[in-house]
Amino acid sequence: MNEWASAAADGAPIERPGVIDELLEEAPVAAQAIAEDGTTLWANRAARELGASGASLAELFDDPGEAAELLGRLRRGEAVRDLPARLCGADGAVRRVRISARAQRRESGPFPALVYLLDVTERERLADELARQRRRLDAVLRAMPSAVAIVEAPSGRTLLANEQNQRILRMELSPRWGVSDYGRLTGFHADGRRVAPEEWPVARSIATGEVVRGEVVRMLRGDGSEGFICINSAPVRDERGRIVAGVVTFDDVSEQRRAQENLEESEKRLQAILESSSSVIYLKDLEGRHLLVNRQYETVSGLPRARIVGKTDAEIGSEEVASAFRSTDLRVIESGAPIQIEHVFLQQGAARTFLTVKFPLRDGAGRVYAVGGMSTDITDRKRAEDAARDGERQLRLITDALPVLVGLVGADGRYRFVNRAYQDWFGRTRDDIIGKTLADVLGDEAARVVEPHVAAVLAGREVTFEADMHYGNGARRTVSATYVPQRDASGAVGAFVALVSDVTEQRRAEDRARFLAEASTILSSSLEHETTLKTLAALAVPRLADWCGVEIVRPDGSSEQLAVAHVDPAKVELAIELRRRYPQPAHAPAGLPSVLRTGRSEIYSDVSDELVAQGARDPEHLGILRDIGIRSVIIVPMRARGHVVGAITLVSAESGRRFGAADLALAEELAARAALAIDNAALYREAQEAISKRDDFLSVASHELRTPLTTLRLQVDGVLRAAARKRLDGDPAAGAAIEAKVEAHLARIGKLGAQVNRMGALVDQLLDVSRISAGRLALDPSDVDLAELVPEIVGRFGDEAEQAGASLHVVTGGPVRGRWDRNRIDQVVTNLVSNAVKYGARRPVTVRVESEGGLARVTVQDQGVGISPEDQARIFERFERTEAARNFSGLGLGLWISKQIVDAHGGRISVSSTPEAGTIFAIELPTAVVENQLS
Amino acid sequence: VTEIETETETGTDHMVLVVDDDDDIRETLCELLRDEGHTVVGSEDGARALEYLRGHPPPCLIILDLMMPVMDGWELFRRLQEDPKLSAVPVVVVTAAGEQRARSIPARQVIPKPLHLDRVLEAVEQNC
Repeated sequence: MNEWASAAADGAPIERPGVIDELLEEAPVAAQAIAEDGTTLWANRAARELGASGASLAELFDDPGEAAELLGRLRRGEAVRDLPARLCGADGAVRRVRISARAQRRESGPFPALVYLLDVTERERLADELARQRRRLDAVLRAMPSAVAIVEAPSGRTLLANEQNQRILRMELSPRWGVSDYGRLTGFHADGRRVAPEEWPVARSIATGEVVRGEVVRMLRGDGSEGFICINSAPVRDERGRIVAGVVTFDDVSEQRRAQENLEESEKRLQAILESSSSVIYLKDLEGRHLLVNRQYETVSGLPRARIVGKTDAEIGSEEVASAFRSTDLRVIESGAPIQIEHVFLQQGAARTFLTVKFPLRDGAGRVYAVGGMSTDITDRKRAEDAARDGERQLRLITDALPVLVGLVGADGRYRFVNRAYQDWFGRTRDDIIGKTLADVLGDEAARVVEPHVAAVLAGREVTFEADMHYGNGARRTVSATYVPQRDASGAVGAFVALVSDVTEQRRAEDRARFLAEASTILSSSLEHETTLKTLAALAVPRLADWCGVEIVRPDGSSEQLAVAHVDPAKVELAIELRRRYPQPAHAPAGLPSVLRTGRSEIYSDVSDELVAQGARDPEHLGILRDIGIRSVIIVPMRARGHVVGAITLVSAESGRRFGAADLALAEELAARAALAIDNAALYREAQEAISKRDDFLSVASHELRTPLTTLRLQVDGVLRAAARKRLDGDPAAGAAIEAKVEAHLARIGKLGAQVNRMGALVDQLLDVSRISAGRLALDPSDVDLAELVPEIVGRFGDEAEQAGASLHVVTGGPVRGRWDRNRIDQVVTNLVSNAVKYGARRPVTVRVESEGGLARVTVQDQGVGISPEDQARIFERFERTEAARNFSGLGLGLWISKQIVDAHGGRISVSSTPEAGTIFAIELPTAVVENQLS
Repeated sequence: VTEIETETETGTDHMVLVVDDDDDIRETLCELLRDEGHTVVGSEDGARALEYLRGHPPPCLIILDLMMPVMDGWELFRRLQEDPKLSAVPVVVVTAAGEQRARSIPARQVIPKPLHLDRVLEAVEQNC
């Protein structure tokens, strides 16, 4: 101070009042006086501490420009107030100052001027710090999601607020609004009442010091939308506890609120679902305590909810069940994966099956905190499934036993069911068919064939069809199929049943049978077997083969190609030419000569080129054979009664057909029939010859037998006649003795005549039998009156009847006329009368002739022993004799011949007899006979 | 050598011609008919019978066998039918050949062999 003062005194001519000096010296403001050149003339202590003593302004200022400006202004007589400047301190530190200066308003000039320097370094540093803090606070407030505001107490005007206030409330807010202005905000209490200005939380905080936390207010926001805000507010007190401000923060909780509402809604729904579910639903914690159960749980367990929640299974049920439940719960907890269990337990005495799904519940961190379960009573469903399974099993059992292919195909064209036959036929498993389409299983070509039938059955019509099918697996089959539509409850066709039979073999067999039938017809059409065999060969192509050859064996053992057929006549020529040029040697080990020799069939299903080459004689022959392109060959013998009479050769060439066992069988059958025809023809010829020879023989024999009989007969008749004449004439010369002798001889001759008659009759019968058997009994009809003929016949029996002791009576009415063979009818009546006399037991015999309605009837009635019913049945058979007839001679042919004759006339012969009472034979003849022959 | 036996006791209009190749039958028949008082001529085959007929007056009846050598009964019958002088002569066929064959001739009567004398005599009585 003293040094500064002395220096000032040394340099300045100013007066220094003592007290003022002291005041200046000690003033907290730096003060100095400077000369015009800027040098310091005087400085107080504060100025000296700033480094002002002894230095010029330029040295003092950090920026010399500032010093020059200050000096300039002072020189111009201007006053300077609060000019900021930076001084370069003695310690090198820069000090910030405010400069106020004033020049002297004296005559001598403005200098020395007074300069006051206020050191504001610290103050400005604090001000900077404050500003920085304020900026940070603003940044924090801006960054806060919540609205924050500080309001003044008690006015309620806003001291500080971040942008969120306006953003959340969606309206312009004014910092000048006081509490009364809070009414501009539209808020509602939970009860719907409007929030009054003083009721807003911050108003209450500044008024009463209330701390409000989390008050939710429904608001109508500035833009008219509705929302919820959650408000916190608290008072701000000074050190003395007075409320100086209030702090309010609030957030828009509309979204949370909505989410909450949604959550509550969904929880309600979930609850409703849980409650109304027919499944038993529960949640258990890790210890097995029930957290939640639904109503069905109560129903099934028979316990109220209150007694279940919080309890473990062991506490509410049997230990056994509880332990089973617990073990599955633990499996879920340990594995963290859901499981499905089916279990049965008793409910009100009935076994019920439940399907249970247990699943873990995880918290936010993924830890299992509970086990959930849903158990569904599937007893009925299971029963239905079992029933359906049983039904299908039975259906399968039945249809698997059927030889028919059974399939169920849906309207979508996919298989739903097939039986075993179906699987086997296609060689596929059931799983490989079910769900597949028709085209998948049948193949495209066959699927196209059935397509219209499928369309028809799906249209509701039952269809039956037969088709040749080429299946995907390469098989060509003839099938007979029936499609039956299956209607659902609404009547729509949802599927159809296909019943399919493989009729390939059946059709082939029918074809073969038809062919054989035609062949048989041809073979039996004529006895000229050479012609028929040619026709047969023609019939065989192309149905059986491309070529057909027929070879027959001649009586001398050689063979000859009788017929060869091919649809192309040129090829027939070729075959004949081949045969001529390349005859097969009779000793050939195989082929036609071998078949003719051994009588054994040969079949070459696949004729290889090698085989053709073996059979060829030379390259040209081989060339021709190759051109023919023989594919398959069958050679079958024609055998009749142990002899090979020929052979049939079938060749497949251009058709590519391959002969199999069935073809061989057919060929053999054909050959057998052909052989039979050949044999029949031969037999017929032989028979014809034999018959012709027999007829000749019969003719000669009858002539030869009758000739001596004729002479005998005539001689006997002559003798008897002569004797009779002599008796009549009476020979008086003859003595009684001689007469007696002659009578004895005549009796013998009479017997001789009877024997001749018998012999003649026997010869006649034998010849008749021969004729009838050969179908050669011819009738010679003429007009005959039975009323005339019969008495004549009976008349001839005079002697015989007399000898037999029987009387003969003829009863006739008027004429009974018709056209008959007189001699044959005579023969029949004679036979009947002869029998009656013979077997009539010496009782009367009555012969009646009648006519009635176009029929002529002759009955011969005796009163003899009668004929037993057994004998009656066979009396008209050849060589049959009744018991009674055994006492009499005869061949047993008379009635048989009579019957043949009557039959030939279109008539009827019958017998009725009562044992011991007699027999009636009757013949009935139509009055006009049809001119025919016995067959 | 002719086998024709000619006996003209009662005149030709009552004559019966018997044509049969079997000697026994022919001779027996002739003998028996003669016993009955008829004039009978026998002939051993058709050719000789025809020859006789052409040289003599027609008989009242021809008893004709069918199966004969040289000329059989059918042929003779045919020739008789062709001859206006002879076609009216009644013919009775006696045959062992079976009626079938005998009927091929429209003869008045067929008497099958072996012959009953009664039937032959009956035929002769009717025609002579």
